[in-house]
Amino acid sequence: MTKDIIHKVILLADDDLDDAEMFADVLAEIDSTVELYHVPDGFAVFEWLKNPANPVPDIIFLDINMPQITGWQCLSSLKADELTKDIPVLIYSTSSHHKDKQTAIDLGATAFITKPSDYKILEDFLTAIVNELHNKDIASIIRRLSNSLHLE
Amino acid sequence: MESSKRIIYSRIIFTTGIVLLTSLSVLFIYETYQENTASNVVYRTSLIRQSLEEVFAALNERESALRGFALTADRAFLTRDSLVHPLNKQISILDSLINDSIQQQNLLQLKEKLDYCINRLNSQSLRLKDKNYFNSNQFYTDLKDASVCMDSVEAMIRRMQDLEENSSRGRTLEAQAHTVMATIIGVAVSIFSMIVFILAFYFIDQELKRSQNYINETQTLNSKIAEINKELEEANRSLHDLNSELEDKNFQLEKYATELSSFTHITSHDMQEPLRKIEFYISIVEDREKENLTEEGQKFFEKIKQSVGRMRQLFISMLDFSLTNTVDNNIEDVDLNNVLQQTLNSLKVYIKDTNAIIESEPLPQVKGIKYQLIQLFENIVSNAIKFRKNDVIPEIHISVELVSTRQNLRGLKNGIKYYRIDFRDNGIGFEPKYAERIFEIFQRLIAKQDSYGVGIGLAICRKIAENHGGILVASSQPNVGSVFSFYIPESK
Repeated sequence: MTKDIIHKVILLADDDLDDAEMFADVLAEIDSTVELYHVPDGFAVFEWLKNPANPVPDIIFLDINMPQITGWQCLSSLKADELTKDIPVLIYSTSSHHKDKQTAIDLGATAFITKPSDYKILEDFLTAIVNELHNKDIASIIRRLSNSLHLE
Repeated sequence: MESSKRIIYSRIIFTTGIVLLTSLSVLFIYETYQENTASNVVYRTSLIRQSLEEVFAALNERESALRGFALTADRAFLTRDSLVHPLNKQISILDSLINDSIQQQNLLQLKEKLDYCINRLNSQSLRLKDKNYFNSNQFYTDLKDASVCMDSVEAMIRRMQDLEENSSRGRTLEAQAHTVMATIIGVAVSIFSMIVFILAFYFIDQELKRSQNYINETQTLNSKIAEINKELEEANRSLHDLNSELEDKNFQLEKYATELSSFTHITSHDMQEPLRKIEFYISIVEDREKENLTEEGQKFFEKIKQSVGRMRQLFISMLDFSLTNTVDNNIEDVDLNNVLQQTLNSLKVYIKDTNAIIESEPLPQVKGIKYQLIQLFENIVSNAIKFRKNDVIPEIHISVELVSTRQNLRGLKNGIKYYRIDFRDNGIGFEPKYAERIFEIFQRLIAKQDSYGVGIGLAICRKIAENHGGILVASSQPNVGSVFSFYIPESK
């Protein structure tokens, strides 16, 4: 692998181009060395992961309302596959219903994040995440973060 | 008379009649038979008498013949037929006719006497050939002998005849008696038959009349039943029509409900997307570009931000309202004290900021959806704090009472016990005439400075109350306070 260990990789699956653009924008502001890859739907996630030329992401941000297969189905498949089940998956959705939060946890997601409507909140969140991307304990860190930032 | 009794009586009468008629008929036959027998005897008697007469006549004739010869010496008298043959014939006739034992004995005696007489006569006739016979003593002896014989036979015959006559007389009377009896019986049979016939006819006539009455009654009843049936059919039809109407309305209602539910859900959910983006871009612009706006521009920008914020609240409330249902929620045992705790927790900051005092009696355990009950408590308590009097510390007292619904409050079932949980506050209250209006969506009685509410909270609370099989009502005295009463069924 020619991947530079220092580089952090985030995979974002979202069919909304505006949201992806905002995400990339904020991320670039925080740390431009982070590699952000964006795919538009669930199938593309697997295609991307299967491609040996692509680096293994440190974290996957997964939207729910996507065409073809839903985020839930994608999540289940990711957690069922040996190669991908250890990658932390963050459900990143417009929904704020606590039932969706429960479903995310049940299916093995690391956390459930409601897409923030305030730029600053997103900024703070991504800053914290990026710093801990190579931390093994990232799951609990994310959970604490999402709690305190009222993103759940 | 009961019909079963009637049947029994008629059978008794019929049986008696048959028995009587049969007996009378038997009697009649018997009498006739007896009369016949008696008549036969009488006839036989006359035959016997006739025979006896013949015997006597024959004997007499022979004797006369002998006398004639004796007197005239004319041989012509001697050439008469033999005496024996006709006599034997008559004797055998008599033999066959006579069955009476006395009479039979008499007959035997008669036969003896006849034999004796005939012997005598025969020996006399032999002596007649002698010319000197007529001058001798023998002739006179013979004559006397013959006379005695004849007298004896005559006597016997007479005796027999008398016997027969007596018997005949008796028998004749008997026969007459039997005839009379038979006639009486015959008449009795006729009369009795006529009576039975008349009775039977009367009886049958009554029965026929009764039957006819029953048939008429049945027909009347039948036509009444037919009428009632028709009415029932009509009622059925209208019921059926009403039913279909109801079904149609029901179906429509269900459709509307589903449509409304999806509409609310979809609009509030889907429309949050662009709303969120608006907010997001507003926040970016505020962060990076706001200082590039003119003062007026910044003012307008603020207005946009506020309006968007309000829109956000509206959507949250709408979403909450549409999601407040029971369909995909688990109903479990919920401790309301716990619910109150969580409520106070969520409203911690607000309570602290306003110095609100919240007291409660111990609350019961109920069956319900926890998060909805929390929402209800939160809404009511925060409302109570919100609508406080300006310079008075808000106090909220929560009390419980177990009631059975005699008051017939709309929405509560009779015969079930409910907990009535009262949230009493000392706030500004509201006019009693608005007691129902406050529960309508988007109805706000006053605009408050710190009101975050969009006026949907109480509507949601009421919906939650109804989800749990209860109701939410409010009463108030302006400037004194309000009481919000939450009724929830007792959980056994």
